[in-house]
Amino acid sequence: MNFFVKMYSILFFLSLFFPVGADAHRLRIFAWSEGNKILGETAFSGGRTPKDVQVSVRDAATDLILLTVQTDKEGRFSFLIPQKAKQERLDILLVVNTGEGHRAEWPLPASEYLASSIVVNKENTLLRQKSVQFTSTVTKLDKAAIVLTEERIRIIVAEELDKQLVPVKHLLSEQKQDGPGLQDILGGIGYILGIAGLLAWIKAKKQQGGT
Amino acid sequence: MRPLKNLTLVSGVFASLTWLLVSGTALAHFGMVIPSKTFLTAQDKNVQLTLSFSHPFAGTGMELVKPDKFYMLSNGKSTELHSTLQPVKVMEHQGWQSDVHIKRPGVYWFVMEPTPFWEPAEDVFIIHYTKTVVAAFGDDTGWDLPLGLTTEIVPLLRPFGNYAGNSFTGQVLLKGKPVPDCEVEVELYNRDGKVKAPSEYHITQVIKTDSNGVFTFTCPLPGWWGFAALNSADYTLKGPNGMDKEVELGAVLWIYFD
Repeated sequence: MNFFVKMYSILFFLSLFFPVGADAHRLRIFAWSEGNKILGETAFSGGRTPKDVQVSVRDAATDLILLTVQTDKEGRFSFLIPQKAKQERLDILLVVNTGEGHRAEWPLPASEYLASSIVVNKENTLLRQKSVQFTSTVTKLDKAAIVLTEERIRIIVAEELDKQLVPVKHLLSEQKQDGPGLQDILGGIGYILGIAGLLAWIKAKKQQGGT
Repeated sequence: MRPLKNLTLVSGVFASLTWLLVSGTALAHFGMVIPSKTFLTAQDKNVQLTLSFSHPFAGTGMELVKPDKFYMLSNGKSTELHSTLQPVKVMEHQGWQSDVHIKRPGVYWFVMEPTPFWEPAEDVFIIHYTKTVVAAFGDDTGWDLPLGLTTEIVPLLRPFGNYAGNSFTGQVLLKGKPVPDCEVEVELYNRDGKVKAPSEYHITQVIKTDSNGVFTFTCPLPGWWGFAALNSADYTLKGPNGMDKEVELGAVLWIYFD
């Protein structure tokens, strides 16, 4: 009986040194726009990332949820700018809530995300104009068809490129996160050895007491 | 009556002069890099850095020649800011200013590496490697890493989001190695001159590092606190008279307490 009381006290004491729960970990969210997409990331303070959590995309003025997206294993997410948001020039509010008081939001004003979308659209217009100039020289062919074909190819290429570049962009924007270093690992081993030693000592003591 | 009055006047002037001289020697030099804010939010993504070489408590400036280097470090990435420096008057002397727009979350270190400052009164050159930190958009990783400067104070207390009365703990490194028994001078940036020092000793406070180069200092008042860990360089520079002169290397860190 005495042995168990001792053990319980020791384990309780040791448990104080280990992190329990995530209450102190503040959650954060960050997002930016690229073309017609919004990309973002979520993280806890200290750099750990929440996995597979929902991010709600809201109209900042009314709090109406426009859509929800899921973060990946790295706490990242991306989505196409909702048509409604674009058309009505809605200021967006991104909200991530992992429960237990962990909630974070990031505002993305229409002026900010539409700016990059406008740049893309301008480029599209320029491309279209160039393509029209080009097609006008090829008078024998169906101009409209060529414009459409080029446009279609351009969209496909852009979409594919975008898709392929997402991991690269994420990689580029990745923040440095330090995993456990040699010191931490050695410390961990030390802890384990320490506990084992303590147990052995208590056991030996008990046996001594018994004999 | 009259001679007595004169004597009092003379004594008064003499006492004032003595105070000026004494307090003059008590002032510590500090490289200064002071940001306009300590953290950035979604609504506020710009920060202005003001660089100077000053006596921060007394509010006395010195001329700061355009620094050798000025850059920003975050997530292992260095961004050159030297070309953004604009001349400005700080404490009525030459200083420099830079406006920076931050795009991504991170802990941003701003580092000034000045040209050697010749201090004839101390017969020494002074180089203060000065750094400060700004946290952006909720990120709080990377504040505890050495930046790899010639000499620096690595914080062991997260260097932002602190209250007056919190204790700052830091480790002094010289060429990457801890410096035991190193003197660290501490001063409050008494920007509006409202804090009156009870004595000249209170202007620059001094603490020494332990055998691991670590020191702890409790900052009792809100404001910017500067820590300058001083060491002698293992090289000399030619003074104005052509003679070899010692070089004081300062690892200076500025952090804010609310």
